[in-house]
Amino acid sequence: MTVAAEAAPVRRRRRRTPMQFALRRALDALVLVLAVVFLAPIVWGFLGSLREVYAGLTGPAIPSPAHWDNYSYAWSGEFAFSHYLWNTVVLTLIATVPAVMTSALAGYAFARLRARGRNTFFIFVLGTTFIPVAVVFIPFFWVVVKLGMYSTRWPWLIWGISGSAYLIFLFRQFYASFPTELDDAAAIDGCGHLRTFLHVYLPNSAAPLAVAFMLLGTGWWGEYIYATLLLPDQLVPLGVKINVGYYDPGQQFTLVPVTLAASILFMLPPILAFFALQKKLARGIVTTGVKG
Amino acid sequence: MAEIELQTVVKTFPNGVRAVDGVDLTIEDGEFMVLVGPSGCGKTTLLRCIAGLEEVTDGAILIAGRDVTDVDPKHRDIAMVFQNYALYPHMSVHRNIAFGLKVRRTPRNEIAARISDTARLLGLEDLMDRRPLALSGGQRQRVAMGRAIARRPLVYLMDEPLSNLDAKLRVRVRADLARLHAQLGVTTVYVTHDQVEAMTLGQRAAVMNAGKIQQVDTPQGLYWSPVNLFVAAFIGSPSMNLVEADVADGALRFAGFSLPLAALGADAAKLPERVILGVRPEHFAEVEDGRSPAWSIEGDVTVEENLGVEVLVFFPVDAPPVETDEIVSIREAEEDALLVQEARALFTARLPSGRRQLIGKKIRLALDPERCYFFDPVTGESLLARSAADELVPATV
Amino acid sequence: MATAETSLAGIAAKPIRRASFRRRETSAFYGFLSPWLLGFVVLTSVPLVLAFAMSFSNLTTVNLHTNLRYVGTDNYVRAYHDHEMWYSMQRTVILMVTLVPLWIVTQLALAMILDAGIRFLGLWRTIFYLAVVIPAVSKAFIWKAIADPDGGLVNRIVRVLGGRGDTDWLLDHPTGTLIALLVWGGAGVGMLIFLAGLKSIPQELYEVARIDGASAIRRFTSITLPLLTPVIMFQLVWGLVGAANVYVEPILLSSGLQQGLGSSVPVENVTFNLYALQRIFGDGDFGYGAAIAWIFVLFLLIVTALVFWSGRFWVFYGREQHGR
Repeated sequence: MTVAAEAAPVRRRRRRTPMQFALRRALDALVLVLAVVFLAPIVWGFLGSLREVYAGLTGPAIPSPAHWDNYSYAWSGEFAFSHYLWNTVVLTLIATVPAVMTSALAGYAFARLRARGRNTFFIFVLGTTFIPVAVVFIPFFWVVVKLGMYSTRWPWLIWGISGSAYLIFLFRQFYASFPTELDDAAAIDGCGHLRTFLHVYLPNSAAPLAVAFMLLGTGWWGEYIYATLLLPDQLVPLGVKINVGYYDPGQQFTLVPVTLAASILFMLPPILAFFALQKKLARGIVTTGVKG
Repeated sequence: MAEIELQTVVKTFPNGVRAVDGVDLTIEDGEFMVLVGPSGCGKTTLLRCIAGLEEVTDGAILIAGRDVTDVDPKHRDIAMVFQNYALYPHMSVHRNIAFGLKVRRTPRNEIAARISDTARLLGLEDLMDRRPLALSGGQRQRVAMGRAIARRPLVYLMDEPLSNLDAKLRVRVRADLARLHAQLGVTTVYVTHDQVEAMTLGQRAAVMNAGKIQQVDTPQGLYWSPVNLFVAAFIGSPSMNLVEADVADGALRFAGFSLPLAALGADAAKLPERVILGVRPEHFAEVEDGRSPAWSIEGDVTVEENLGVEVLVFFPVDAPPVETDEIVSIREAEEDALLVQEARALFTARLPSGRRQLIGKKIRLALDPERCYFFDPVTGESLLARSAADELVPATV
Repeated sequence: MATAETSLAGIAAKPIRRASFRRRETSAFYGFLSPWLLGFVVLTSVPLVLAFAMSFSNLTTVNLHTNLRYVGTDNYVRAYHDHEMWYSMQRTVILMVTLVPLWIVTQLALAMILDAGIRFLGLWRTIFYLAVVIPAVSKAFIWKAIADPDGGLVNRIVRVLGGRGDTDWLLDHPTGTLIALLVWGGAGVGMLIFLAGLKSIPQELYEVARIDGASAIRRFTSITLPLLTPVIMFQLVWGLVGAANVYVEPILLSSGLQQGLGSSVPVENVTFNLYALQRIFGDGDFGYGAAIAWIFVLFLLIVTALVFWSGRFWVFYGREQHGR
C-alpha cells in the first residue's frame, strides 16, 4: 500500500506519449463497458421487479410508474416471507459457522502438525472434492432416513461440523505462510496445540475467515436441491419458496415482477454481507492465493 | 542452580540429516554461553533441543539437575528469544509479555508486578499498548526480551536475537544484553553465526561445525589457542591466512619463501613434513625498506582497504589456496564466495594506517614465529600449543 | 563412529521418546481432523460404498423390499446401450470445453485489467465479483427476465439494433443461455485468484524485461503467462470439476423441482449429472442411476488425471516449496 502511494506521484509526473495516453483511455473505456455488462443483469432484474404485476416483462425499459408495492406483496402476499427468511438464516448459520471453525482447525493441523501420513491424507481430503454429487445422492438420502434425520435440520448441522475440503485447503495455505517461530513462542509460553490455534492462529485469521464465511455462507444461503428434497414445507429456506413462484389468485400464471422482487430481497443479505466484508475479502484471497 | 548438561545429544531429522552429532556440553549456573558456527552447523537445532522444540534422537538434557529430555517446553522452565522475535501480532506489547504468565496461571497481581518491573528494566513503559506492527525493529527486539525476562525462568535461550537489527543498533543492543545478563545473572544460551557477537558476549563460546562441538573456551582461548583449523579459520576477522608448507632442510618452505625452523626452538621437531601454516592478518608487521628479516615474506599489494585507523592489504602468494571442507563451509556460510576463483592464495595483512598508498607496490612483512599456527593438513588439528601473548597490539619491527 | 555402548543406550532409549513427543502431535493432528472425518464417513464414504453396491442391483422404488437382487453388470451394460446417456455425456463435455476456456479467459482478462493500475480499483472489483454472492435461485429468475422472448433484455437490444428480436432464448438456445449465466456468475472468484497470482509476480521481472526491450505482448507471453501457470492449472482443474457438476442451474432455468426433478429441462441442458439424478428421482430407478453416477465418477477421474499429467509439460513450478 505504502509503496503504491509513494510511486503514484512519480508516475503522474512522468510525461506520457500520445500512444500511452490512448491506451489508458481505451482501458478506462473497456473497464466501463465490462462493468455495465456485469451489472446489467442485476439492474434488469431490479427494473423488472418494479413493473406492473400483470404486465410480465413488457412495457417501457424503465417502468413508470415504479410499482414498489411488488415488494410488499413479495414480503407478505403468497407466503410468510419472514418465516422462511428465518429458516434460511438458521440453515445457513448451522451449516456455515461450525464448518468454518472445523475447517480452520483442520487447516491448521495440515499446515503445522507433523504427523505420519499427513500429506497423503491432505491429498485424500482434496480428492473428496472431486466426488460428484450425483453418486452420493441416493445413498445419502438412505443414510439420512436411517439416522432419523429426514425432515429435520440435522443434516445441515452435520455438514457444518464436517467442514469443507475447499476451506481446509484455503486455511492450510494461509497458515503455512505463518512464521513457525510463532508456534515455538507459543509452545515456550506454555500453549498446547489447541491453545496455540485458538489464541495465536485464529485471532490472526480475519482475512481467510472472511473469505470462508462468504464463500460457504452464500453457498448455503442459496442452496436449493437438498432443501427441496429433505425438508418439509415448514422448514424450507426462502429459495425453495421463491422458486415455486408467485401466482395470481386464480393460480393461472406467474407474477413475474413479484417473483423478481422476491429474488432481489433474497439476494440482499449476501450482498450486504459482501459489502461489509469486502476489504478483508480481497485481502483474504490475496493472502490465501494458490501456491504450489 | 540452573546449570545445563548436555550428554551426547544427537538429533537426526527424518530426512536423515544428522544436525547435532553427539554433543557433550556443560553450561554453568549463571553462565553466558554462546553457540557459534557457520549456518547449518547445528547450533540452532541444538538450542531447539534444549528448548524442547525438537525431540532429541539420542542422549540426554538436564536442566538444574533434572532430566528434561522428554519434557514439554512449557515444563522446562525456560524462555526463548527468537530471531524474528515471534511476537503475537494481534496482542499489545502488554499482552505479549503477559501471555506466557497467564497461560501458566500466575496470580494477577504477580503478573502486573512483573510486567511493570520488566517494562521499567527495558524502557518499554510508553509502548505497552502498541501492537508489534507499530514498533521499530529495536523496540520489537526489546519486547521479545521482555517476554522472556518477565517469565523469570531458569534459563534464557536466544536464537540470533540481534541479526534482524541494523549494524549500529546491533552494537548498542549487544552492550545492553551484556548489562542485562550481568544484572540478572541467569544462565543464558545464545546462538549466533557472528563471531564478533560470540567474542563480545560470551563468557565462554562453543564453536560448532557439522553438528559437533569443535572447541569450548573463553573468547581469548578461542582466539589464541584454536584447537584445529576450523576454529582458527572461523574466529578472527579478517580470518587467518592459511597456506600449505613443507618442512624440509631445517626450513619451512612455501610459495618460494624459506623460513628457518631454528626460530621455533624445540617445537620445530614436532612438525611433520607437511603442515598448514596459519598467520592472523594482525600478526604481520611491515618491514622497512631494504631490511629483510629471516621470518618475512614479500608480496604485491593488489587490493587495499583503508579503514581509518588501520589498513587491510591483500596480496597473492605463489601457492594454491587451502580448500579443506571446513574452510569451504565457512566461506559458503558467510556467502563469501569469491567472484573470481583465485588460483593462488590471497593473503591479508592488517597494518597501521599510514600516509602512503600501498596498492601496486611490493611489500615485505615480518612474521612472529610465536604467533604462527601450524595445523595437520589431514586432520586439521593444531600442532603447536599457543597461548595468549601479553601484548595484544602487533609490534612493528 | 559411535561406540558400542552409546548405540546400545540409544536403542534402549528410543522407543520411550518417540512415544511421548511424536504421538502427541499425531493424536492432536487426527483429533483436529476428526470433525471432518466424521462428516466424511457419514455423508460421503458410506453413501459412496452404498452407491457402488446399488449399481450392481436392480433396486428401484418398487422393489425396495421385494425381489431385490444382485444383477451383476447389467446396469453398466444397459448404460452402454443407452443413447440418452451418451447424449448427456456429450452435453457435459460441451459444457466443459466451452465453459472452462471462457472462465479462464474472462477471469484472467478481468484480473489483468484490475492489475493495470486502473483508477477506482475497489469499485470495479466489487462489480465484477457481485454476481458470485447472488443465490442461484435469484440468478435464474434474473436470467429468465433477460432471456424472455417478449420483454427480455436481449431481445430488446436486438430490436433496437434492427433485428426481429423474437427468439425464445431459453428454448431455442438453452445451452448458450446456460453458459452465459455460468460465465457471469462464476468469473468473480477466479478473477480474484488470478489477481493474487499477478500481484505475486515480482515487479522487477517486468522492469528487467523492459530494459531488455521486450514489448508488452512479449512481457505477457514470456513473464506473466509462465509464472501464472500454477494458478491456471488450479483454475483449470476447479473449472473442469465445476463445469462437469453443473445441474442446479439447468433445473432452475426451467421450472424447478415442483414438476419432478428437472423433467422440464430442455434435453440439451440435461447434463450427465442431471441425467443420473433424473433416473433416480424421476424414474425411481436407483440401481441404474447409481451405475451412471459411477460412470460419471470414472469419467471425471480420467479427465482430471489427464489434466494433472499434462501439467508436467506446461506448468512452471519455479518457486521453492517451503515450510514444514
